[in-house]
Amino acid sequence: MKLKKRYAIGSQVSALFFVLIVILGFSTYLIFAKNNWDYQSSKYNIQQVEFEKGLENITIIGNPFNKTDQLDLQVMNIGNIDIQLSWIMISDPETNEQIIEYTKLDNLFLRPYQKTNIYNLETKFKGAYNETQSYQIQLITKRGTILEVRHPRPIPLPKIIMTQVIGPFFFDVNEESFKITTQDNSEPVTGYEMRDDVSELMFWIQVTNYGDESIELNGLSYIELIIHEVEGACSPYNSGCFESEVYFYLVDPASDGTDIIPYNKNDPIVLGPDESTTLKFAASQAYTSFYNPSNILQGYPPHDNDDGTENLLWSYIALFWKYTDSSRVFGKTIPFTAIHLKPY
Amino acid sequence: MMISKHKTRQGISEIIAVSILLLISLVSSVIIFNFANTSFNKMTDDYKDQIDDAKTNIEGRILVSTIYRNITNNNLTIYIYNYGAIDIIVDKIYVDGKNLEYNPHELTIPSGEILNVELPPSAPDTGHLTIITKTNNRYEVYYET
Repeated sequence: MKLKKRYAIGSQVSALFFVLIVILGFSTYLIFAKNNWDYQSSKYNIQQVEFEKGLENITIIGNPFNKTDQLDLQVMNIGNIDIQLSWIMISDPETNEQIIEYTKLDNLFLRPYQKTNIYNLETKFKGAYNETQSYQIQLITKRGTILEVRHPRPIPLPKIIMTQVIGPFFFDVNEESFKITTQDNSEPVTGYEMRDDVSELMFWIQVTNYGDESIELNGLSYIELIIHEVEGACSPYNSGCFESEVYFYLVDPASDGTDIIPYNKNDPIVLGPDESTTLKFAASQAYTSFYNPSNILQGYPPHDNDDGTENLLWSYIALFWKYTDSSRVFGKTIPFTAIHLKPY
Repeated sequence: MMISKHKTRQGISEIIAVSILLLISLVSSVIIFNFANTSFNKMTDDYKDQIDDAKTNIEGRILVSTIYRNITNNNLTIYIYNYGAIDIIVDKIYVDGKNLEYNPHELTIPSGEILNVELPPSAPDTGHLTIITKTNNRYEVYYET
């Protein structure tokens, strides 16, 4: 008798269950993995956007209202990443009225250090310009960076003594903004009055970039003191008396009241729009770490004002700079302040 | 000799027994499979919903570009820029922790657009503004008009 080989049905059911369990487990893994991947991908994309947003930096170049009755808005990407300008709005800062409502800017891509003109606004703005009015310009990038610039910029009110704006530089001349350190005093003290026997003199002067473009300062910048001879017949001031000129050149901002660090051409001071810094002038020669000689404020020999007479020194600042997007060097002589020199 | 009147009784055949057992097994299997399938689908759907919520939450990005007092109606006007990847719906607006009515209610701001809502004149000139969207995005800023 021929016997057929028979399999138990239970084995087949078990096999089926096993296959189902494997399929279920694998499907579960795939579903969870896919969702998790989607989530991580979205999270990465958003983090990337936020990171890139932090790298964005744009500025408005020049005065957009320099043409009569027209808006000439020139925007520059001064960051290190491509930027897409998305929106612009111009309002009256006093009333908040939107002179140009939020307007979408299509396909305005800017590569790093690329400029563009926003032309299509000129027609919208035509006829609306009033030279006595201020305008608040707001630009928004696709990633959500907002640039707000006011034109013309409001001049800050004087704080204690006076303010002056020369070229792109704004000086707020007060007790805090003009200081000195000397051999005897390494902590900055106000510089409007000092002894005439000081040595290792360093001037600390606050300045703000009031312009619209970044400024790179040149190491040939200096502060000059005019020291009139007041000894003997020259006291009080008489014509025909001598005067000497002493120069204190710009030094590295890391210099302090005890040491001069020479100004570094390769790491110059760069001031962005509206940025402030304290310039330090001390070196007797540009790009060096040499102080001027002791008692220099008494005038060069043989015109020593060492007979105990008080004096007034006149100071001028000469700043040389270039804008970061240009190689052309600019210079400005800035009458600064009088310094009361007290005899020791 | 007594002859038994009882008929010879046979048990349920092996085939029927196996069939019954098989039936029980199949019914049980169907029930278990159905339960497992339903639970699995629910679990994966729930998980997918949670992931979608989380994705929506991180993909929604807003910022306030301008706030000012509207001189015509004295309302506080807030311009909101949606720079995220998805459309958002404004849900609640708080100033200094106080939930304020705003108009238009539940405003939808498409991705990449700037739209404005207005708060009533009672909204203060300075304060801590919090905007919450339907997808639970939260944006906070201190403002001064």
